[in-house]
Amino acid sequence: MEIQLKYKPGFAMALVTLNEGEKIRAEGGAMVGISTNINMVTEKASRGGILRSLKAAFLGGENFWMNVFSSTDGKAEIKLAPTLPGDIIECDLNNGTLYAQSTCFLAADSSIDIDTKFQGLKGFFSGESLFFLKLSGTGKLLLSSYGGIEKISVQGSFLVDTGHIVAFDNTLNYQIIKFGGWKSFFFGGEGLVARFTGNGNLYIQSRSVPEFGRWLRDALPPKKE
Amino acid sequence: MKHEIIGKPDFPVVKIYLEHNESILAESGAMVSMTSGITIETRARGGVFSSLKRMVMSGESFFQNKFTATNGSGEIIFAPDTMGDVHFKKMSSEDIILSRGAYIAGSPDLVIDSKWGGFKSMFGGEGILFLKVSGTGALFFSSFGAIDEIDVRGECIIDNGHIVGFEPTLDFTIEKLGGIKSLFLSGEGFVCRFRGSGKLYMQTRNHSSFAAWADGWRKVESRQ
Amino acid sequence: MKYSIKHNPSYALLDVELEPGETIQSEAGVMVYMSDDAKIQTIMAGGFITALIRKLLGGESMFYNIFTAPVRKLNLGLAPDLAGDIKKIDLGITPVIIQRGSYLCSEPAISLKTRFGGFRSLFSREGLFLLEANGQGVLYINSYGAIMEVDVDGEYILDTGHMVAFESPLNFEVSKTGGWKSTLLSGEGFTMRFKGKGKLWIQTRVPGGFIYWLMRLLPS
Repeated sequence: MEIQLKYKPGFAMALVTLNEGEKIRAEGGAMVGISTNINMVTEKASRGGILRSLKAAFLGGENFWMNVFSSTDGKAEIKLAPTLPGDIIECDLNNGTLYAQSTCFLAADSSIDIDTKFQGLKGFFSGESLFFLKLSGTGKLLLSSYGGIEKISVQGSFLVDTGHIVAFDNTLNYQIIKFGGWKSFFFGGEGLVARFTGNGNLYIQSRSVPEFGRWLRDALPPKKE
Repeated sequence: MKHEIIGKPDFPVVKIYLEHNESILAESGAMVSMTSGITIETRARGGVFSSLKRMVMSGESFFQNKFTATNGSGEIIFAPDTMGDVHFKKMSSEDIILSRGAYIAGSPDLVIDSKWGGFKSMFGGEGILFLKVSGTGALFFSSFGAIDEIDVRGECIIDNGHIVGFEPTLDFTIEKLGGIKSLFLSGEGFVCRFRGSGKLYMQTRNHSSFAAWADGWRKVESRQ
Repeated sequence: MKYSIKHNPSYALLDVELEPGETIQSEAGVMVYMSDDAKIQTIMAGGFITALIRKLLGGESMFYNIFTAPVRKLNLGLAPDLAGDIKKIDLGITPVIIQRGSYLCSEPAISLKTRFGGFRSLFSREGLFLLEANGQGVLYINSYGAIMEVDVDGEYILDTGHMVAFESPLNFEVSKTGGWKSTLLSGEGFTMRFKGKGKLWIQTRVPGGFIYWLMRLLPS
């Protein structure tokens, strides 16, 4: 599998070349174009039963069904892009685990296992859907971001606005805390933030999806029920 | 008429240098700024019926603005409404098919008409008509996202929300991808299979999917 | 104090590095990340009455955050809500007038005064107030879309929604675009006619234009 990223960082698109026998699993709707020798099969998001897939769909915000693309004859090409403007990065998992904000998942080698890590009350408190997909195994992985992607090497502790989290190594832990003192919490415009502790890589995006969504909510006329 | 596209590919603008008495036509609302000494004239291009047809069928604005340098040379900047790239095509007695709303500005000599895409495009949900631009002159159009220019020789499959424009030497059919299950569950719906030889302009984001995403954030007003 | 702008022009992020004791003031709600031990203070913008009027009329934020580095170096990431660019302005003798929503952050020696936008604000949805920045230091502004710098010498005509900031020797008046027919039907409405000599910063897109584009794609 070869991956080439084009049109970074504003409107990135991944050009994936598959050899015969290779498979890539992509989020529903991510396909832009394919060569004529590509076969597409629609499967449940997670392996391991319908309950796990349901969990991934409802808690993770990811499409319940994903598409698996493979070559029917020799080398085949597929172009993939996320719904929102922004960047794409490629991560190589080597028998490792990465937690990714559910809306940031674009595609992965079909051998990578997708599971939902339920964040419990932590997620609800932040007022934003802080659900992470647990991605583990060996192979290539594509993550998308709204805005540019910044890789931060956390040593000790670090604070991030929750809407800006893309992914983090499983060596990091996080908790949700308030921003500054009580006055800053109420009036500082940040509310709750995530404190990461430990040593590992944290990927953040330069714009926040919930902030953009809230801006749209105010700017667009309401729809009739 | 000289021009410069500044800031490709995310939020570019096109700066046009007009000689004395030279004109350019643009979509309503596309003007960002200009030097003084440029006159603006607003009109329904090709008459009321033609403009109405273009507006209803192809998503263009009813009124077009004609900018003319009337006091020596002048400079004018245009931008599309959407985020994404701006493209220039030098037309020399040829045709190009553009998708809804892609047209920004062009030479006054270009002829712009709606083109019946046939029933096939109804299934694509991409508007009943395309826009057909013909003639000679400068043409500027926009895309949602970056543009991927494909030289089609033979066949090519594209998700229909990603089409910006194509040369009329290409023909296309609407097809479903995968099996029956995929039709309802894959999120891919229908795709376009292009055949022939010619240029295809593809955008790296899908405006319909983006609109569906944005729709999810809208407030809901209950009917009382 | 060290600054670097990343991911520009479309999704610009400002990375600020503060030495112990150094301070920076930002618009509320723009913090992306920071070192854990930053000291944060939230203040009201321009006194209670001004802040309240602004909130009520313009729907704009009433508060600024002030970040101070404690005993260690502080890393701070700042970015606006919308897609777009960030631009540095070295403020000296010439005051700069900023569209209210385009203010990102500034060094503490810079004072900000809220000004009513005047006649023009009645014809644009881009905010009712302007900020006048005075003093010596560094100021960062943000835009929707990319920022272009125009050196005006004489006259320059700008669509109202594209204005970000300008140097105060410049003056503008709001005028109609062409004749009344063009003003009403051209989609350009009213324009700003700048006169004088100085820098003008314009943004390459308008949020209202983006919403208009999106609305045509949405089901009713």
